[in-house]
Amino acid sequence: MRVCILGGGTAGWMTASALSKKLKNIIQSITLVESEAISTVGVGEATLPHIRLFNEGLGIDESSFMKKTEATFKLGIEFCDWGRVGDKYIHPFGDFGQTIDGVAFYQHLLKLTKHGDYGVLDDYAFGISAAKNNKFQLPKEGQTTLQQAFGYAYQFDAGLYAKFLRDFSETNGVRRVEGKVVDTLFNEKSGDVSSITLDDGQQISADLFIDCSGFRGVLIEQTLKSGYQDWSKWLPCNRAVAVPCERQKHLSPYTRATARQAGWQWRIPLQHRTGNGHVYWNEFISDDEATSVLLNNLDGPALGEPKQLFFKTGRRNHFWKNNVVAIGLSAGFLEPLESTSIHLIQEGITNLLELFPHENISALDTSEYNSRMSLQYERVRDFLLLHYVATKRDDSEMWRYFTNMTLPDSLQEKIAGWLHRGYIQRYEFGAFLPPSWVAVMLGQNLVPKNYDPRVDNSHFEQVKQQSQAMRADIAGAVNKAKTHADFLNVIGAASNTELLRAK
Amino acid sequence: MSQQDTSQFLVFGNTLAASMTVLALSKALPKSIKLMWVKPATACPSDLLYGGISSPDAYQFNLQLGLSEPQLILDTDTTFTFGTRFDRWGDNDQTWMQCFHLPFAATSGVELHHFMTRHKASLGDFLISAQAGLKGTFAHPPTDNLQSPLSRAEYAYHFEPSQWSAVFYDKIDKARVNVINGDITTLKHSQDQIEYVQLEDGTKLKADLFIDCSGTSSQLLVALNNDFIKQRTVQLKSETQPCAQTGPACRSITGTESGWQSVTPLREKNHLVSLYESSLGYEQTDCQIFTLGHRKKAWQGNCVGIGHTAYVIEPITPAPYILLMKDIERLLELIPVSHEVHVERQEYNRRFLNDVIHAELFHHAAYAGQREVGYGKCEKLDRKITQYLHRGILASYDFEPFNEQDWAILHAGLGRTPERYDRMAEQVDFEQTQANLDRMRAGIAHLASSMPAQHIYLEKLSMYLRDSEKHGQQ
Repeated sequence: MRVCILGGGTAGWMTASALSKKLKNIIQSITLVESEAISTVGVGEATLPHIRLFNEGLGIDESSFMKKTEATFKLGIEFCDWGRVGDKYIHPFGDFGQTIDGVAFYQHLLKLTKHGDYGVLDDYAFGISAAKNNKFQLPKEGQTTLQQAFGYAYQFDAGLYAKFLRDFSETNGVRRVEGKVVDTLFNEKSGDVSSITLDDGQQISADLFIDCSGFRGVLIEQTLKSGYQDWSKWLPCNRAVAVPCERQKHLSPYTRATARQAGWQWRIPLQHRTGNGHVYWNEFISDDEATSVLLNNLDGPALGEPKQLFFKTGRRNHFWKNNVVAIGLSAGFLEPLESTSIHLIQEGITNLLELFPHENISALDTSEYNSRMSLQYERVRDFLLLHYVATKRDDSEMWRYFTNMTLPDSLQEKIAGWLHRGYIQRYEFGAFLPPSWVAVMLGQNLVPKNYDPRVDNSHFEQVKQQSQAMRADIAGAVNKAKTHADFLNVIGAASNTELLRAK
Repeated sequence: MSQQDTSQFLVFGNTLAASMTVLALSKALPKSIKLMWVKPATACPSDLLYGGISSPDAYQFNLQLGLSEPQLILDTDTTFTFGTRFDRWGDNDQTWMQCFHLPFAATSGVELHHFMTRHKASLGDFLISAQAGLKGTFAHPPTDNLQSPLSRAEYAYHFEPSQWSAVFYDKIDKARVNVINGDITTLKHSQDQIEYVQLEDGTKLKADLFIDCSGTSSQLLVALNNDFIKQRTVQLKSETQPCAQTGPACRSITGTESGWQSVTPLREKNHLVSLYESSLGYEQTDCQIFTLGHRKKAWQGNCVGIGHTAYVIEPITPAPYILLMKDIERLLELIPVSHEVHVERQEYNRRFLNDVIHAELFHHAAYAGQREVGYGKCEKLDRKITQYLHRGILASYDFEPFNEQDWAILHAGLGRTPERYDRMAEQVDFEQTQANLDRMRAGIAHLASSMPAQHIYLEKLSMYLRDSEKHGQQ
């Protein structure tokens, strides 16, 4: 089977590297078409811990990859001004505290906080405490279960990551072709794309096309008319402006997302610079104002001209249609509030590998792929929306819009269960597990009226002591941990690049 | 009733579900919730529907309730089981061992069952629990030797529900639970709320939450709403036969003209259950008649049905036991925090329905394409079977009672062979894999044969446990 990947951004090269490694002797040829004249979006600079599995699956050495992509470790996302102006919390990768008498620790904390100062949820997560102190160590280095109960991801330069994977892919036999698609030929009878024609007249035929062409969806939409499910009524932000700036002195092992009047702003610290962007709803703020908000809230001087992005949240009706699979922004777009862009690329690739066609593409493969990806997108959508609706903010038109919103039933039920008794409606297949929901809901002051009654069955004095011991355990370990920057040095992941400075 | 208020729960029934539920509640509920158990003198016959087999989770579940494996081994006729051997099952007379197993080993990211398709091998040959079950041998999976194939096996128990009920009952702190021996004769309710129940002696009992564990009669729940969805009617006959020595560490189910017959080895006796399909016109004496199916809602108003009160599933797998554990876990997670139980009820019923439907899928899959037992078209099952047949994909839904291994073993056992396998398997050298598989098959066969027969293992284990008990080591 011949494969053609259209687009060479993060999605394109991640797909190329995975297919070339995992299906090396099976795929007859992999051709990746990209044009240097088309810039890539590269919004996905922050990732989820799942990315480590992806890299490990390719046999990528962590330190070398981090060095080449200016990567930093990521222990979570700090959310500022979301629940109320002035609030902040970190959504970590991992759980909070340790289960007591079979009941999740946060339920005990709900009771404890009614009886005095037992700290906040953040104090019971090693990842959060380390992040706040700009410290880092690997989970396996923890001396206790609690010190090991966290995950980590990376923050990297998406452009460099794509370049890194390009080298990897080309070594594994992927052929890169420079060019822009000017025409697409498809089989009238089957509806399959048979070839694409490039601006230099080259025609590339393939049995399977993977559309990584970004928002345009050159094959999945422009050619095959997949159709788009518009989720703007739930996630109405539709533009972003991005600019890198000089890095601050301390290297934070976390991403920051700060709520604004008509959207939110990201800050992603890399080794050589800090990435920034302002996602907004143009209904309530002009492009110029949005740019001003961004530029006025940088850690340091901007390193270039702000770059504008336009999008509509939602997903294609079909992620896989005929012989075209859409991966990345061509498949759908959900704002990068929880760093899910690269994760959804990874999900697409993982499912494609498992369902990779044999001699012919079967409707059973496409339906299974579409069913799995639909579920992933919907579950991420609900989690993102939670951030906008779990808030007391009503200080702008955008926040008032969310106050009056009718939520998807799936999210409404989750919030109802939480508010009533701190109950988390779990699922097995989706990016965000219960601790993530707890982090955001409690972090944004969605405090349940009641706690799990089983908590009252535990010996209260012992619970108090255990809680104090947990906090002390974490605080002591964080104190001993290396700074994030030192850790990068020690493992040989520190880049040789000098810090970028504004001209 | 609120976080601090005193409230009262009433459990009704003389079933395994009742004793397990009462014990679990007594351990988990705060003291502000008082617990009453109205226990009729006669045990409900529907406990027969457990088929005398638990799932591997029983070990941990029992332990949480304060019941250890040694106690079950010493005080009851409990034996170990690696699963169920199906004989002459379905139209094609399939025979296989539906064993319990931890996730299969993967090679280069590809799961074992794909290599079975590629190398035209039989999955059961590579599962120690299947081989040991078939050979009648048993040993506990080691926890300190993860290289041993036996460490991947899982085991459960063959048990007699009345004995387990008694053991659970003994564990209940009678100072915590007000056990009332008696039966409910009448029930007063308005709309979907039970006001009180009245006992034979005229005593009226009120409660904030009624927990109906009365078995298939659903005495309390049925008064509020009869939303039982019937699937088919069967007749079950039960008998016990003494035997010279304890049987193998697996139950057997044999397909018959009229349904099936199971043999469950207990200590020096076998429990035989025969199922007759009513639709086939077999009229049997000494049988209990059950209508299989489930309720749409297990929690109505202020009454929750646990176990067979809420669903009736034939015991060809441990599904009835698995669902009972899930019922109890779900109830514990959703113990009401106030008089307003809308949130708890809705979530309980959502999870309940998913669990029951997903358990039924497994059973339907065992019959699918084999013979007509009245199951209609089901999109979820179609997806599972077509995806498996197409390329060995084990399509899953959230928190199914049966895991991917169970499904892979069932499909393979029923002779379902995928047309294709995971393409990534092609990356692995064929000859080398074949040699590895041959070695693995031989190693597992040898290991299964070298393990002791279950009766010998149990004798030695019991002796060891008694000695330990004497010397206070337990």
